[in-house]
Amino acid sequence: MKGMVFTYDALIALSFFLFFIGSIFFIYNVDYYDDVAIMMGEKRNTYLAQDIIITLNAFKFEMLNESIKKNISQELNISDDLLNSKAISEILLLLWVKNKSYVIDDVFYSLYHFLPDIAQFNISIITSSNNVIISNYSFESDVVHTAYTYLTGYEENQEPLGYVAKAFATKIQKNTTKIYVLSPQGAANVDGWITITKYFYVNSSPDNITNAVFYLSLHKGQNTEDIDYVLINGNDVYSSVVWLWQIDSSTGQGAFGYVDIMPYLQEGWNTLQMRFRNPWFNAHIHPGSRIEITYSDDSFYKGRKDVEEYLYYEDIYSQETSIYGTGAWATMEYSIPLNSNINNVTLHLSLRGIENAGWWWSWDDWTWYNWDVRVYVNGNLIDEIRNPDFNMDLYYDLTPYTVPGTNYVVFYANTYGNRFLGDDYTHVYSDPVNDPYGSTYIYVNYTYNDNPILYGNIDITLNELLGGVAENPKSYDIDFEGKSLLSTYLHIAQIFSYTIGVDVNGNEVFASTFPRGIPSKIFIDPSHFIASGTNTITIEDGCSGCDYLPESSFEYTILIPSHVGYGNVFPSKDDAMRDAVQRLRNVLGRYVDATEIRNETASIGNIPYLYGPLKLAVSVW
Amino acid sequence: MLSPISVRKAQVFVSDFAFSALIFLLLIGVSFYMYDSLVERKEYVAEMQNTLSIAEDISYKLLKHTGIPPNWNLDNLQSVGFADEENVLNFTKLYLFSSLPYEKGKYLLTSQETYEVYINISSANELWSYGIRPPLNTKEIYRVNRIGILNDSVVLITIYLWR
Repeated sequence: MKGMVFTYDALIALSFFLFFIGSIFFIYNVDYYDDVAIMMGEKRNTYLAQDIIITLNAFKFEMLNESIKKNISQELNISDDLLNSKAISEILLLLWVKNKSYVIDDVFYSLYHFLPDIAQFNISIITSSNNVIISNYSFESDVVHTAYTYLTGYEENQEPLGYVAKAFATKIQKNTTKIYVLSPQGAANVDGWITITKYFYVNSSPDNITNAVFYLSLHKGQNTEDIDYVLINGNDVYSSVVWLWQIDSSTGQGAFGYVDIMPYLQEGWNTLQMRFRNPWFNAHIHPGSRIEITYSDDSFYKGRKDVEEYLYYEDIYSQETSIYGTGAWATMEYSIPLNSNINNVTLHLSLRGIENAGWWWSWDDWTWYNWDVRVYVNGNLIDEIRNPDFNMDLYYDLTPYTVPGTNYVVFYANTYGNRFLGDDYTHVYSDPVNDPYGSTYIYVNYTYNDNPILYGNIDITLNELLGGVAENPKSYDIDFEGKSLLSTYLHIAQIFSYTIGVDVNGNEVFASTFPRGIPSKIFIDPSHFIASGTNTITIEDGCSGCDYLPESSFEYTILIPSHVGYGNVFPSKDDAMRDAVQRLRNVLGRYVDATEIRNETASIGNIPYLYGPLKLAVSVW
Repeated sequence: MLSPISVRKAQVFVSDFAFSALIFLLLIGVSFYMYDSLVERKEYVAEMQNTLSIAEDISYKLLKHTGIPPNWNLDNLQSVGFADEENVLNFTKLYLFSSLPYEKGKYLLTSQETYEVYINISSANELWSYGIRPPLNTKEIYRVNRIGILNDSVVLITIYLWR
């Protein structure tokens, strides 16, 4: 056999070889040298663009030659001494604003005359909407290196030079109101006495208190002696109560009045205690009982993103005198802003003197019951206790039942409707001064989703009586004059009540979930209101005779800025400062008096611009 | 049926083997050449990047760095820098520096002994220069242009580097 020269193996190997050689030559022919040169050239152009921007900002008008300066001054119609400290970048912007863009070339080339020998370039001004406003040349390269400087904005046709000022209120005086609510609660039966004690903290010296009123809304007996006393820090003010409404009925008397308590208040913890009875039915508090204190204060707003508060019940001591039994019930409302996350809500009940009443007939529900304590949240029965301990500490996690807006807790201990099953006494224990954690309270913890920590603001709480006549339904109009709202509450005052519905500008914001489930204080999220224009609040009770008293009120807290920014340009510092102070006083309005104001002024050369920003861009290729 | 031993021939050289060997040797040769060439390119790129780095460093000293100490003189100089503020040159420092012997000044600028440097600062006219001018027959000269301010003028700074 003869050897073969051109076998298939050889042919395959040859083709691989030729492919390999071809690939090598292809790769070899890529010009690395040019790539490196291009890379270095691009880096050079980047540096040039940056250097131009930096020098435009560093080079001052006063460093230009005299002829250029004279030309610019004439075109801008501004004297040299007002332009001297300005950077060339600002001069270019001024020329553009004044429609003198044809001067820009002269200015630029007088400085960068060597530039066309080493690179192509372009200058542009870009507004916040990102449109190129002015450009010397059109782009002629795909690869452009651009550097920017931000110049604060400029309003055309505005005289750019002079002084601007801003003002800060560093010390203030404001009148603000704090309201302490007594929610509906009771109940001593027939000739039994109920003693209600409320502890409230006044964060103001009595010298700064300008008004303090206690509104009483009671269901009591028809006789004067059915109220034993009304004490403020041990001072009996009962005889000073001005009764506005006293309506007798077969179940006693619904009474509403007020008393001035300002002379008796002290800074820190204060005590309100009243003892009364209702020989016709059970003695209890109606919607509308509250303490309103208006005081002068110098504090600024301190917002919190995470809010924790303990809402203490009043201490309720319901005493049986003869044979008609006793019991206690109480309501409490708590509110959660709409834009927040509910972390935890806990109810602690500290009950004393609870009897095991066995089976008993409910006239209200027309059925037999054998519970002794019941707890409702927003109309939901969450617990029912039979065979209770005489003294009990009960804890309930209300978090799953809590909703954004107003929440309402009601508990009954040895009483329900017109049944009073306790013996001797029933005591809802609460002493937040000496025993806060042993007291009856609702603990509320939520976190705002948005950041409410609005530093530099002043919070003011105002409370306006709805006024008018006692009626149902009742409407109230309010215009917030553009102010920011922090919180809003409605305080209901009624002699008799059944159910309640509240709407704002035609939208329902609250409806009671079960009869007689009337909170005294209803939270309305500020988002339901419009900042400017008339807002209409309407309240309506399901019972036609259950009028809302004119002493119902609307409480709202507004936020007012404590400073104003730069305003218009003035030829002198004093004028600018006077303008800033006046603008600050206008913002503070009738709500706040600035007792100390700090000014900051700036000449246009230092902080020239009031609006903006614009970008000055230099592109090099 | 096997041939008798006396007539069997051994194979020393066949065309397949020759052809394969030739291909193999060619591949080896090309590979060595390619390797050599690529190494040369790689070294060139590295040198170019090194040159760029040195030139950037010089321009940094001119435009961004005040020197150590900031108010240095020829007696207390630790690190050279010529900027009063960003992109603004201090003529006094340039004047002081230009009194240094070239080799010393070059070393302060480049931290190298193998490079030569020439710096020219000009506006309408030359305002300052330092070093030896690049010879005309030098193959690879790297040039950097920067812009700064000197004595109330916007100036072009040109830095030349070569080996």
